[in-house]
Amino acid sequence: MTAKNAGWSRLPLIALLAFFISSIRLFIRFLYQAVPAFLGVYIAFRNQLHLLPYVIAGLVLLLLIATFLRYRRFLWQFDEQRIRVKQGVFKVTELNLGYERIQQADIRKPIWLRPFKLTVLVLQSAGSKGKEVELPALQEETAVLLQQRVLAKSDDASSADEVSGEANPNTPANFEIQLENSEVWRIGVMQNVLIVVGALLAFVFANQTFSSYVTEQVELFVAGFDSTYEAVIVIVAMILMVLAVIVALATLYFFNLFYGYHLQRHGERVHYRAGLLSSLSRSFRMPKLQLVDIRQGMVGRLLKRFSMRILQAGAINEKAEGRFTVPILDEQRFADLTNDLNFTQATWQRVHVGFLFRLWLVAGVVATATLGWIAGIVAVVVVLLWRLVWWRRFGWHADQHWVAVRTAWIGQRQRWVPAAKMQRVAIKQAPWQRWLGCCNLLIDTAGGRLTIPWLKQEKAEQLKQQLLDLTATNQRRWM
Amino acid sequence: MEDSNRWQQVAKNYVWYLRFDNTVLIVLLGIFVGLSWFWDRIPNWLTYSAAGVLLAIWLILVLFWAPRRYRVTRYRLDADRVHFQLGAWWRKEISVTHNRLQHIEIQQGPVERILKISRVILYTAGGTGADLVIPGLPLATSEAIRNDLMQEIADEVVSDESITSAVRDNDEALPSADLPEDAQERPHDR
Repeated sequence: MTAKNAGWSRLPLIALLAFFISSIRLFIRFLYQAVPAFLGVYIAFRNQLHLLPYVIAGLVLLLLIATFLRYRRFLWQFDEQRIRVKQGVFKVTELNLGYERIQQADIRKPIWLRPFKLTVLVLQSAGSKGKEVELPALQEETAVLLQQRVLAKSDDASSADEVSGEANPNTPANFEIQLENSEVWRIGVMQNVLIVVGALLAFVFANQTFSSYVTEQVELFVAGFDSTYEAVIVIVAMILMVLAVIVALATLYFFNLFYGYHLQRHGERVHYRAGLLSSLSRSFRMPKLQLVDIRQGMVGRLLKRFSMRILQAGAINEKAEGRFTVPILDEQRFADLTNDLNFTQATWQRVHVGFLFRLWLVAGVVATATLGWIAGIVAVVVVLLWRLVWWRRFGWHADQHWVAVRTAWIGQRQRWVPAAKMQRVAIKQAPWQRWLGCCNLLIDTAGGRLTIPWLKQEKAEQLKQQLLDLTATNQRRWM
Repeated sequence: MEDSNRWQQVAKNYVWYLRFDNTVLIVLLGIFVGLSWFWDRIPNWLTYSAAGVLLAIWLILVLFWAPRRYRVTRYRLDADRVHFQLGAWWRKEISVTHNRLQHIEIQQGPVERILKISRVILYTAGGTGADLVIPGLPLATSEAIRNDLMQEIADEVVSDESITSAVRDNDEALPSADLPEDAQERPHDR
């Protein structure tokens, strides 16, 4: 047994707390999904209610045992080349992760680990499933050491020197962005409220019992008014209030998340630190950059602010919280950062007007079929106007360094990929596009796909050829 | 599209593979139609006409679609890249350069084994799963393609520098920066 476990070490005992918290999280999610099943069980066994405390005690005991086993079975070790993690209660999995494969390293300091001066290290690899290693409750020095190794590896000695130089906090950064509180307060406001509302609604309606209860309550509420008109006014006012509350909560949430945001680049290493209650330090190396995602929502446009996410290989499978984020950039900082990323000046080009008509008539037909022809005409006009704006503001750009696509309606989104990091390029053509001499160009990269629709065929062929030439003749590392 | 004579057709037997595929699909649908014959709620004339339609679709697929599909399934192996073309109505052309290949697979299902064909699957880090699949190749061809590409990958010279880097001077940047804007014909394509 000991020989088998040679070199493997356990996490400090306090990691039990981390496992306990994650177990509870899983358990709560499971409970919510299983409410209907529990109702069935309740109806079947309602005469045995006196047993309920025992059942709950049993479940809690089970949770504790599971947590303890997870902790006991979690073993890890690291050396010069790789980090290895063995985990699992019934099915033991062993993960071997070479530092070279690691795309991004996070050191998190959750609030509940602060008193113990411990951290959580999260390493993201380039696996297609967005595999990541999470080491809860590490000594801060160990976590920092590992983060350093990850960032030093994958390149030659010169960059290792750089990293060791940068371990010294006094070394001046080559580039930095520091957000003052007034900016951090704006982050929550910039978020799209409707997305939050959508997520809430999805959550509510995921559970059948709960959703029918909600619907019933709303109907009862409306019936309680003298006229529908009155009910509508009250409901609209309530919706506005709820939206205001959501915005306020989002503002607080993002203020906590990005408080004291400080981004620095030392040589190839880009790093940011942020957070009020729990803090996060996240870093990656410039050579790992695969895609830059720039967003500006409706409010962002009013405030003249952008946000940016930098994606590495496999980051597309990662949740938004897991990506390297610059949450808010005013125009000056945006210019500075894009300059530091070596962005070229974009000359946005439009695509063929055929792009305007995508999905156009579909809305009309659906509206006519369901609501009558007046609705159909309205839908056709509205969708056409929307598509017109979409088409006019759609833009693509390509040069020897970058390929970019901008999609925009009220706000905008730009996605930039290094031209020579393209993995696969494809041309697709539907029959009607052939009649108009157009086709779609699809550029796959390790950070996601860019689609340039409705390009003139010659232009698409030429661009494809150019990208292939750039990539094929480029001997530099793409990752 | 330049030099279409270097585009290569897949093996003739691929037509039979496509026909087999179509037949399996039609038989599966046919089973549903057959079951409906036993169900009283569905009038028999409906079952018969559904069967007729299925038969007609099957004939069209087997007699016209499969040979046509075979003719428009082509691939091209260049010095540093692979292209694959597919489709008569909805066209698709996929290209991958050798220096982005992650790994290469050869697959051969039971039907393909009988027909003596196989498929080469090229994986890159973009997208999810198989990025470029060339079906309908004789096993020997598949193996030759794989071996060539593997050799190519092994011989590849990778510089220590990265494509995206913060530390290098922007102007000496990419070696290919002096490429002509419209590089239609490349010397290595010959």
